[in-house]
Amino acid sequence: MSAFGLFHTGDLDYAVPLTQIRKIVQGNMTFPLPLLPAGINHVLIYESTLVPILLPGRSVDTREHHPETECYVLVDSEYGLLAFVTQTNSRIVAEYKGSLACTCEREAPWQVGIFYYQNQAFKILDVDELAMGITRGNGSICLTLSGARRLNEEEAAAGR
Amino acid sequence: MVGSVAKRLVFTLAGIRFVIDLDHIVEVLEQLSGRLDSQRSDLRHGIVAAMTFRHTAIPLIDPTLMLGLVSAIQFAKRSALVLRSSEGNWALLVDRVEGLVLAESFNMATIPPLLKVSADFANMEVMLAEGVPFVIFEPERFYGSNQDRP
Repeated sequence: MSAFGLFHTGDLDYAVPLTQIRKIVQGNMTFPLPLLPAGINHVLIYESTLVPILLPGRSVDTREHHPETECYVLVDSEYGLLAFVTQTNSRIVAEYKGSLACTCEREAPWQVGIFYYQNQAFKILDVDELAMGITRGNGSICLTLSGARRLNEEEAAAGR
Repeated sequence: MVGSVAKRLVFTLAGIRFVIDLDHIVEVLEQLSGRLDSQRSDLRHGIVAAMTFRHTAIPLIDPTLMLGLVSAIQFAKRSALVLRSSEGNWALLVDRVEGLVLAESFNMATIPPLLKVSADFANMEVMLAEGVPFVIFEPERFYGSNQDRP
């Protein structure tokens, strides 16, 4: 039985496959570090590892998140552990309790589909795509819808 | 690189904690007023002023220029670490000196592959003490003939 973690942050409702979720933590201190890749401003510490924090659905330029009150969902990617900001009202829901829709044309590079649950649409994150965007230096534009459109346009213009 | 000294000095830059081996340090100066000549700067190399130290002018380097950081503390209210190198003394501009910490208090932090793909960050080492990260400051990256961009 597959399941999704459902999360909210900013204007974004998003879902992550349960198999990729390592842990949900709250109240962790976050720390700035120099020379982090684009799209990442802070890290948190989990089991002696620096975990980069992504703010899906928000501009990374905004410093409006409040670490002491927010939760972080720790997610495994091909490039290691990532932390996504989420509000405290997250939940785990079995796939059969909602319905899935694949997005033929991706609204954003990091979106692989939509999970509908109780009249809400949760964008399913492609965690590895997000992580890859960071490694390519596209982190700051992968994380917002407008930025994703810009990335798509740039890739189309480049003939890719 | 990580030395074998029993203690390390902790200082802050733009809210980030750094540690440096005591072997590098000649003196800590917390009052810079009257010592600085900003006319003698070379920002390409991070030198923001010449600083008088023991009747000699030495370069004062602001590492925030190379680290992409912005200090919220006024220039004159910051502190300096006088460091030794094979090419003579030089001074490092820091926000605040926090004090000495036992070397054994630190453990190396694991840096995930996602952060290592950033060439700049991959060259850094980070240690943890009581769950707080400290960036290991390597002076040779900032001054001297072996200077390398961090």
